Amino acid sequence: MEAVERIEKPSRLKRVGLWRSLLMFLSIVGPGMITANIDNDAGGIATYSLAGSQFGFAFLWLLIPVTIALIVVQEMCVRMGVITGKGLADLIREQFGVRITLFVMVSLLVTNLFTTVAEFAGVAASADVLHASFPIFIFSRYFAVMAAAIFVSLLVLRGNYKSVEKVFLLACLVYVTYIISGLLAKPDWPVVIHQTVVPTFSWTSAYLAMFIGVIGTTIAPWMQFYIQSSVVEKGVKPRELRFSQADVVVGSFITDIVAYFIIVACGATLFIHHINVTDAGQAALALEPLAGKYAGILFAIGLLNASLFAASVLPLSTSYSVCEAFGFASGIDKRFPDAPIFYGLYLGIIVFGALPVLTPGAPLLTIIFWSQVVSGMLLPVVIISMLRLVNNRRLMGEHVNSPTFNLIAWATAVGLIAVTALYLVVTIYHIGS
Amino acid sequence: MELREAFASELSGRPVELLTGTQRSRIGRIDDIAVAGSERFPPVVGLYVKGNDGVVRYAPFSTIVSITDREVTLNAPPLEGSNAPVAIDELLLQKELLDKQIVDVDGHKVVRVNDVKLAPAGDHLRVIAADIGLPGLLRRLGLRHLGDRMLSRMPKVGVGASLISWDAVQPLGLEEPGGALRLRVPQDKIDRIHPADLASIIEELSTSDQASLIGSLDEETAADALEQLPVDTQLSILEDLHPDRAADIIENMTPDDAADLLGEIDSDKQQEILERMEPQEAQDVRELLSHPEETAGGLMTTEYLWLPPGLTVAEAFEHIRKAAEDAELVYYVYVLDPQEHILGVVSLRELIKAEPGAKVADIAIDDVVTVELQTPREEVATTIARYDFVAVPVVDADGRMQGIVTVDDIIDVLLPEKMRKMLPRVGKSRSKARLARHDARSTQ
Repeated sequence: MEAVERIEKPSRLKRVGLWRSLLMFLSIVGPGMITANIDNDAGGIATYSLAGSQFGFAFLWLLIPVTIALIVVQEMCVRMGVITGKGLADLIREQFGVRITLFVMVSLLVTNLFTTVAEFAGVAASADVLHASFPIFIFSRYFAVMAAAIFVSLLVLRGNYKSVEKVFLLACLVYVTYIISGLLAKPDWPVVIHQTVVPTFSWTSAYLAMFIGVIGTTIAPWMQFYIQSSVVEKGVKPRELRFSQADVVVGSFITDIVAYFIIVACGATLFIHHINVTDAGQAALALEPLAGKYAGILFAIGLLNASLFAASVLPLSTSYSVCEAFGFASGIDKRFPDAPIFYGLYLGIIVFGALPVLTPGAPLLTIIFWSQVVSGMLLPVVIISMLRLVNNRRLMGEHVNSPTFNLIAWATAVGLIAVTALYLVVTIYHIGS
Repeated sequence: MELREAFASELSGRPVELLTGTQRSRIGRIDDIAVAGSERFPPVVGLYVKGNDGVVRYAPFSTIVSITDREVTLNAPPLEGSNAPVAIDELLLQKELLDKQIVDVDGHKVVRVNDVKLAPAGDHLRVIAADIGLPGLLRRLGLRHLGDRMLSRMPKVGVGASLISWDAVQPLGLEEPGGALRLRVPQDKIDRIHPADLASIIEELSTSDQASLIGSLDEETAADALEQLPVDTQLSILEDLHPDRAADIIENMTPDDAADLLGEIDSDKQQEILERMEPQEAQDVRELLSHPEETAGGLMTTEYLWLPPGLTVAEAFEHIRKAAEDAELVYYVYVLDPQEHILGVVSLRELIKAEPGAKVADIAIDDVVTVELQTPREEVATTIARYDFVAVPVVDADGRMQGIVTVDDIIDVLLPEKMRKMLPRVGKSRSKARLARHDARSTQ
């Protein structure tokens, strides 16, 4: 009797297990996917486009280690969020005290502010491209940026963000156009494959900056805070951890496949013809194999969606993180006088994010690119803080990092610091350029 | 013993000197401060000193000669780790309090400790306040004078104050990952908070802190607070609680609320909790769980007032007085025969109006409107609406009384989700009584 029962039970559980697992996965999935799509924001599109157009397929190999690093770093945040039930800013404050928290938060604020500038620059750039085809007022750069700032603020502060989130996500399907474009452009596939698996390196200032930028735009510091908070808010339990991990892996693959094809498309169209990309209109040409004369419009739509999506999430996430760290009242359910620092920060980021873009003659692509380089330079601060937390047995119990994860995370941080140092040396002493 | 006011952040790292005779020698720095956490204003019981050799040792309070702005002086060397006594309620200021979240009982919110203020009182140095505002942050950053200037300009108490008195502070129980409670701090301060405010505090906490706070409250308060929380939070907390604790708390909820809650969690956990509940309570809940949610059986409560036949009004009141504590609704009283068939129903109003000597049978209504266990909820609703009832009795196929469906439960069913959450609760006499006691206690 017992033996029969024992045999029967597991198989019954397994059948239920599969269904239940699928349902659980679908209900938990989200943070990884959303973060992945926001990852391809204005900064991403611009940086990958420049990488492809200026260096051809030379950066394709980098995407493989970067994807691995992205998965590792994000998984660490997800694991911390699920096991401790607290956000990253919260943990940093609790474990490291006020001084270190200040340092990390200032770094975060700087990179997030620059990235917000990049998003508004993305709005402006897409407006420029649309303006070229439709010279009407609403596509004037200045109107578009101000409208975007107001739209995003209202969306978030009125609390309607959740309903619009789905629209943003759906619109991210536009990125598929890069994949198709890349294939249609008929690049020299043997070369592409070769550049994907064989690393190359260069000591020039431009190359090093791009190196840092690619990493900085893919593994953005703000993403770590955002994904940990998302997972905490969702209330994911330790036994559901593997679903969140799967969510992260899938999301990271999606984001980097898109990045890959942006580089391929730009490499195959722009680099081949030695087109030096200085504005978004030229970057749009990468979509010509697919869209012909509509390449510009397609590109602009994708860029606009990406920029608005990120601009809705980023400033709010930053305000939450900072208030969480210092114990200031926060939350959009509170009225302005009850949470002055929270709202002040939020509006400040929006205003100071939009202002630089509104100055006449602002070089948009340059701004966007360099914001991502700054992100890359400050990323080690966040990674190292995370490593100290995720290896703390008192916090994480048996869920501390495995040696492999530690190795990958440390390698990423150290690598970035090394390349940053190298870049500064090369640039200051004008070596080899 | 020479003591003076100090902030915990300033004491950390302060040099420690040993006084032997007239000789002073520097032996290390303060690593942490241990206080007796269970007292109202916790006194310092000892200091952890990091010696020049890097080893941390314990100096009991009795060995402290003086604490000045520049150094701490001891008259005996600190003890090695193995010899140091550790009290069960020992709270470490640096490691366990600074930068952590606590509940501000008077302000009804969750705040973060930026600093802790200590002051001499009698022969002791006691924790008297937590600094939760900007001055505290500035002090931690080394900008002490700026912080002090700011502090002098801020209100001393109430909204906007930077310092909150320690007896309004509730540290959260400290947990190891995996849920073992390392330190259970007495929760008497929390009991002063109205359950609805408690619920909003709980919602601000991280998920692990939520369960630990609910778990350390007394069962009645925990049940009250749990009832006020949204379903998702309730489920999340229940999952994190130990089944024993969960059972204790759920026993204190009304059976229909308990059934609603338990109905949502998966059956393994449900069973675990039911098994640990008091048999009678568990039986009631199981009974309710056995009926589908959308029927009268799934909505009803088993805690109603009833009387045996043949009583006078005065005897009826005696009976009611004893049973009223546990009843969900006191407005209708049902007269039942020994087989639990309904002979009649009488309202409280009628009982109050009648003479004490009158017979209940004379004033009760014997044509009683009932619904059956499997009656769909929409029909229950129309019945209640049609007759303007506050509650309708539920009978089984043989006409025996099983329970009552109260009007608030049926309204919950009919209104759209969003509106439902905004409604106050009616007829939950148990909670209401407790809430009334809370109000009475807080005005004392």
